[in-house]
Amino acid sequence: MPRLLSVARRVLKNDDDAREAVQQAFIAAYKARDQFEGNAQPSTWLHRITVNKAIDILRARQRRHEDSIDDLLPRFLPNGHWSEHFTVWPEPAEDQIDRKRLAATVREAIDHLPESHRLVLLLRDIEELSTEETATAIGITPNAVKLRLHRARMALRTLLADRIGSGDAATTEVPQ
Amino acid sequence: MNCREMSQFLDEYFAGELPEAVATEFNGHITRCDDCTVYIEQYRRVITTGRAVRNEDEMCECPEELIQAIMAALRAADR
Repeated sequence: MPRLLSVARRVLKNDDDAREAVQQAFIAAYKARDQFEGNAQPSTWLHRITVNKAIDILRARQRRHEDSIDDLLPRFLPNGHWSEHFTVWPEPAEDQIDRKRLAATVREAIDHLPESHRLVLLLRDIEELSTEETATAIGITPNAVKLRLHRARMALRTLLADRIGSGDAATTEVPQ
Repeated sequence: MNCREMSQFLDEYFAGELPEAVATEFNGHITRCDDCTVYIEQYRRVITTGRAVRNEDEMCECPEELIQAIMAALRAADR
């Protein structure tokens, strides 16, 4: 159950809503227990139901204004080269405190993504749903999932460059 | 292939679905371009770092009141 609560928290960013999603998921699973296919893992089945309940709650919330993702995407010079240089990020530390710190930093950066892209990145890269499962859960096409995921990863890279790159900015503008 | 074009194939590259016709140009470009080499490594870190978030999140404990609420709801659903 802790895993289900974590899934719902990541999608909803709110403890009360996350508990509501898990509760609804258990009730839905209980009511649909006759439809459970024995060859599937119960934990995987519950995970999918929880993701769907969390998305339902997310949709039911008042829609907030969504910022454009464009400012977080890489820019290029007219000749197609990057408009900035990139510097190598330090290797992640192995000890538990640094892992927790890194996880908190990444979580905070993900929360800065525009909602439609944040959700796709969460479902694909963190919950490890397939492209098709993600498309069905959100109600968009598989191709739209692929496009949003790619843009979300690039945007998250930009956000992380400011947070885990060397210094305040991991990039240097290239003179045109 | 230039950097902009390379960036458009990153997701297929990491999914192992780079079209054969593109792979030669893609690999040729990244062996010559230091910025693309660094960018690709950072894109890879973005993908793998999601697992770190999940592993840390799942160490949390489940609140007792949630368990009680679910048990009560299941009993109600059974009636």
